[in-house]
Amino acid sequence: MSEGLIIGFDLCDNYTQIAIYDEETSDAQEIKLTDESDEIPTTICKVRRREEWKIGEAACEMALLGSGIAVDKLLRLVKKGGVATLEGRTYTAGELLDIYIRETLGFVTAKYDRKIEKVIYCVKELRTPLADQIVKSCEKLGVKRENVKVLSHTEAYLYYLLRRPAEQLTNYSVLFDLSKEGLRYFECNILRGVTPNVAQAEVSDLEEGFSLDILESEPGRKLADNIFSSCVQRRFNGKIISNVYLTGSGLTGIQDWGKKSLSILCNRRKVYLEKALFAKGAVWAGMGDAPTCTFVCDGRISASVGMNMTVGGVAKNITLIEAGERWYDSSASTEFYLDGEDGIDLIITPAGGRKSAVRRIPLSQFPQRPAGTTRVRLELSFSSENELGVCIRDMGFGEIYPASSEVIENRFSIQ
Amino acid sequence: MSGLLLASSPLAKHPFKVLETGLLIYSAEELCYYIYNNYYLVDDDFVDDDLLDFLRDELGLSQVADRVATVREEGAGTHLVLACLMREVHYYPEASIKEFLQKYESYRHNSPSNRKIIRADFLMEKGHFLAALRIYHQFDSGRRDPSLGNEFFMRVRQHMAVAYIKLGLYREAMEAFEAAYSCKDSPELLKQIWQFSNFSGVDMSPEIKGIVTEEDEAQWRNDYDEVSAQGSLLATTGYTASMFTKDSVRRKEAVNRYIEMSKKNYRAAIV
Repeated sequence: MSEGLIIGFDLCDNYTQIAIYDEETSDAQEIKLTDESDEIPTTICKVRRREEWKIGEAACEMALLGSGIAVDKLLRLVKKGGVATLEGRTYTAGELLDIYIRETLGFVTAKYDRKIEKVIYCVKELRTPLADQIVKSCEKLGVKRENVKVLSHTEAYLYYLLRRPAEQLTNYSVLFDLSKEGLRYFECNILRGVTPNVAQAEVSDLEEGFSLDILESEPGRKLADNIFSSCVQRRFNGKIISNVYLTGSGLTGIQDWGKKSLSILCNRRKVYLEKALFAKGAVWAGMGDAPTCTFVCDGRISASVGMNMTVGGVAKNITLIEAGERWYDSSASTEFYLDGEDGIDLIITPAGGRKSAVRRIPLSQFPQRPAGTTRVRLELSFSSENELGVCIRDMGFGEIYPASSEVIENRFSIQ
Repeated sequence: MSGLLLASSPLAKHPFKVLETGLLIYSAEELCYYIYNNYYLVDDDFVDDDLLDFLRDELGLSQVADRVATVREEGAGTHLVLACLMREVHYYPEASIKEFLQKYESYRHNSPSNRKIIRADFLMEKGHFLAALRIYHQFDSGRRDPSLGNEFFMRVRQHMAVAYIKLGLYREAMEAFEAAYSCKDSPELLKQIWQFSNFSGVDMSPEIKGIVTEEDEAQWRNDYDEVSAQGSLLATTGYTASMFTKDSVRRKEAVNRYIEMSKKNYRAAIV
């Protein structure tokens, strides 16, 4: 039994779902966040004239009663670097997210009376300002950096899938997610012919505007069934799909409104309705013993980055960054000497070992020195799964040729 | 071979100091470069326990240090120990190491006194004047080896004088020049002494003054004026002269660098 809680969050602009690892069942388990639901709105509300905060449904209620001031769309606010003024005081989006994370984590730890071991957030789209802010907010609560992860929904889906029995992983496994964020379709295929196996997943926002409000009335439910069933037919066209997963608050009651859709979905396929699937996937990501698999999806680096170099007298191709690593946690650095070179070539190899491309970065602005007497530090980092940042620094050659202050910075797509 | 060499280790936090020159070395590659390009300064005891500890503890190159230590303990010559070190670091290709061994061996075939003066001259060339002076002075102490001849000792003292000039110690430079002349009467040297006296304002001794004829003086004055016009005597070194052609910010940087260089020189000399 682990000492603390492994908590998975599905954190979206409109809702939050939470799951934890349950030692008794050895499974990820969603948490009931209100009496009726396992999700709450991602809303925060400041109680008037008090330094007290409410979150979720309680926040919405308080705002409706006029005894508090609510802020919603927190994640969008963070991405924009926005602020909110509440009772004359301006709060940055970061400060508001700090409070929201503090309150939600406080709720979970109080409920189970255990401290946090790991906390994994999954978000719709993994981008730097939001991921950085989530990590910072957790660190402020005393959670160590190495115990915080931020994933994309697609990664969480893959982590979830890889925990399923092997028979559920044949052919394509697809997921429909209908939530307050809209209707999305995820398609996963596991390539078993390569070592390690490659788990490929793609996500697409379905073009049909699908608001959960239409499920409130009978004609609306009929319309929803028509839209969803045509959507399913289009997506399944010509593909061998064995397993279908359904998640999101919109699909929880599909038995009541989606008979037509279900008849297509269940035709020679297994269909699983899963609550808080992304939050559960996040929990599995935190367990850290997932089957070895290279992930190819959003949130993961789409190509390996390497260089040709002489290592111990032997010419070698060294890999600095592997395709399939999480871009948010990936960086690499190396130091080498320029032996008559006036530039460096980065070799970009897309996942699956397709044809490599070479990207040359000229170093003409570095001081001219004899061959072998310029030590260079190369640092690689990512700002998204496809955008590589390169920083090359002239380190000189000790006191023999002191370093200049020359630094070359470059950013380019590896797609 | 590719045009990029992977560094053998991170840079040392605590560098290795080469006693002879005061140079601080931060990597195994710098060490190999130093040996390759400064082999006149590499003694039999260059690869000592301190250097092996540096490789082991600072650079994390235990395997390299152990192999070099083994070769050294087997009693191999310095050239083989150095070659082993260079081969293990892989900074130079084998052809360059062989070339180095040839040059090093041919240097080692010189007599100890010749090796000493080659080393001192090399230090002068690299701007380590005090370190060079320390070696030149060794020829003054103890018994003089008669087999070296007067010409040799004249050269030593002449070079000492140049080192003193570079350090701005003109009186000592004059004494060294005159001592050189006492080793061998050389008209060329006499001319140098007269020119130096003129340039520095340091008087020649009455003995030397007595040797200089009026005719010589007239001729040398003529030559001196020509040289002065070119300004070559006024610029003590190319570096100092070039400092004053830079803009104010770069000049300040260059002056600071020059002061640092001089301080380092001094520190190296007093070790």
